[in-house]
Amino acid sequence: MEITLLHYLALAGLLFLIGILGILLNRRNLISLIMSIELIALAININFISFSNYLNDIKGQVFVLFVLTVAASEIAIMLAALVIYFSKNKNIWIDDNVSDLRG
Amino acid sequence: MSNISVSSFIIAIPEIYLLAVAFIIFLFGIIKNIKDYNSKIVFFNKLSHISVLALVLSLFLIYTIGDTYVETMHGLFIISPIIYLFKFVIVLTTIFLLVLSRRFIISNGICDYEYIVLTLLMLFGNMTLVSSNDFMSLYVSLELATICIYCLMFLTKLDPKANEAGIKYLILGSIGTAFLLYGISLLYGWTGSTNFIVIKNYLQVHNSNWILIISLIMIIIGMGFKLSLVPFHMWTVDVYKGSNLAVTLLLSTISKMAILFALIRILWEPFFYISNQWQHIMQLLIFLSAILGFVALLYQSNLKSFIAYSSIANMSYILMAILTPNKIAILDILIYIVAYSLTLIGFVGVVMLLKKNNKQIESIHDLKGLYYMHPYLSFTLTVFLFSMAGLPITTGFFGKIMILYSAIKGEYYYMATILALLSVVGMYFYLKVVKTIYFEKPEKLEDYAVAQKGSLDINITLSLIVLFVLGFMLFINPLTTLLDHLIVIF
Repeated sequence: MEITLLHYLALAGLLFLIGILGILLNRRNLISLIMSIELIALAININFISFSNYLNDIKGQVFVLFVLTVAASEIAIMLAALVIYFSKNKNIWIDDNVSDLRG
Repeated sequence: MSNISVSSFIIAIPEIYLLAVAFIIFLFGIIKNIKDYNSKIVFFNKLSHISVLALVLSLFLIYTIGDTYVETMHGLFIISPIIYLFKFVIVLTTIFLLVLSRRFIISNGICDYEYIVLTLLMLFGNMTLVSSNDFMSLYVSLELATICIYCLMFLTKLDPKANEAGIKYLILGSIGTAFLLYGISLLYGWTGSTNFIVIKNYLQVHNSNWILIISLIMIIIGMGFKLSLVPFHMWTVDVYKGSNLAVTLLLSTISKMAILFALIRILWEPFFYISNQWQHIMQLLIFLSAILGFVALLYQSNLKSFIAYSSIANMSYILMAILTPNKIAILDILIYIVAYSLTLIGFVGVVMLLKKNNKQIESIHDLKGLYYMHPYLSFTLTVFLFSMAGLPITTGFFGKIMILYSAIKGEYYYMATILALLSVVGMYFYLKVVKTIYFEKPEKLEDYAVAQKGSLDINITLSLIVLFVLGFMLFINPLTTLLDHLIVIF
């Protein structure tokens, strides 16, 4: 069976869905939230690269480089925040630390 | 395809200059490396004055670059009359904000030079966001601005509330970006380009299909997260409450202004020919935001959640004008957003000066009896509150009436009626605050809020804003004709 554009798109859509669900359903562990965000970035990159290959246009691959860089810097800030959070609360479970920031 | 030459960068000189200023201040801060708290305050004061002067110079640079329509860097970066105006307004707002929040930042003990560097970098990101003409530059500058705000939130990292608010904003902000990017990738796959004008021309000849609609919805969801429109607003109140008042103000004025303009450009340029589709989605979002924003405003007593709901409610007003893509609507949006941002900055700037029992004011009830202690400051607060409520002769009134007028011209009768009625609901809250200031008294003498002595620059800025709010009606005719002349092309 030949792998077509549609297969790549389905894979990207699935990864995107897993990432979004991981954020919406989990909401407890900060590390898995970060992993979900990385997964979403991966899904977007797969989308761009497969379209770029299909259209025979370089622009999509350039976009991927930007997405990678920005996602990396975002994750760096998030990990720094995680370290501060851990040193304050001695764990990384959001729900365990009761706070008054609710809706 | 033309080569990139030096001349193509001339148009971006204000941005490049701003970036240079930010880096020079950053270098200064690193080399000086001050540990002592008192000399830190002196250094922060100096840097703050320098950055305000630098921003005034950048206003001049924007003015010299001019407003003729130019497109450079392979269509990534453009300038047009309306972009020129928006840049001007954004820089002006930042100047006011920096001046008014200087005292507050120092008294809250976060007087690091990073605050100024990050604010300038955020401004750089917002300026490139305003003049981006391609989804690639739009995405990168949007993220630059957002990442600077993340860092600004973590300046008060030792406060657990601020830390949690920062993490919340980070996670929900990245969900928003994820939706935006997924939409952009689908749009790229369908049209083969990320340039606004190429996409616009493509959509003129090709029919829309379901991929395009999905990507449109995704992009609107992404921008909705950033603008805190109603189904996607759940982060707003938490984040605003948790973070520092200066950062809250930055989030709700400058960053909102730039992102709103980016949304306008996305909807009016690439999606111009499928306006039937996005008008329905936007109408739903506006309706929900207006109802939640104005009704929830009634039950607020905390200052920061008041800012949050007020920004949601006002955003719905502004978005009503973007339903009709024409150059008159953009003028209405410009006037409304300037009126709203300057009023909010003035209001919060006055509140930043006030202290009660040596603590910063947190709730509306802390303003009780302010009139008896500080009649002038309460007059300024009243002017700003009247403008936010939309009472006549203030700028807020003209902003609201122009938006309603453009909605009626676009034949959105139901929407205009509902929003006009809802603004009456909102007025109850604003006038309640005025009543608290003038007619209520705290029981004990030490419960009165006391103002710090304002310095010269703070007084000048506050009086400029009051003059703008009250004297706007004198200049409304020459101003609109001037703006009409400016906006020949959009």
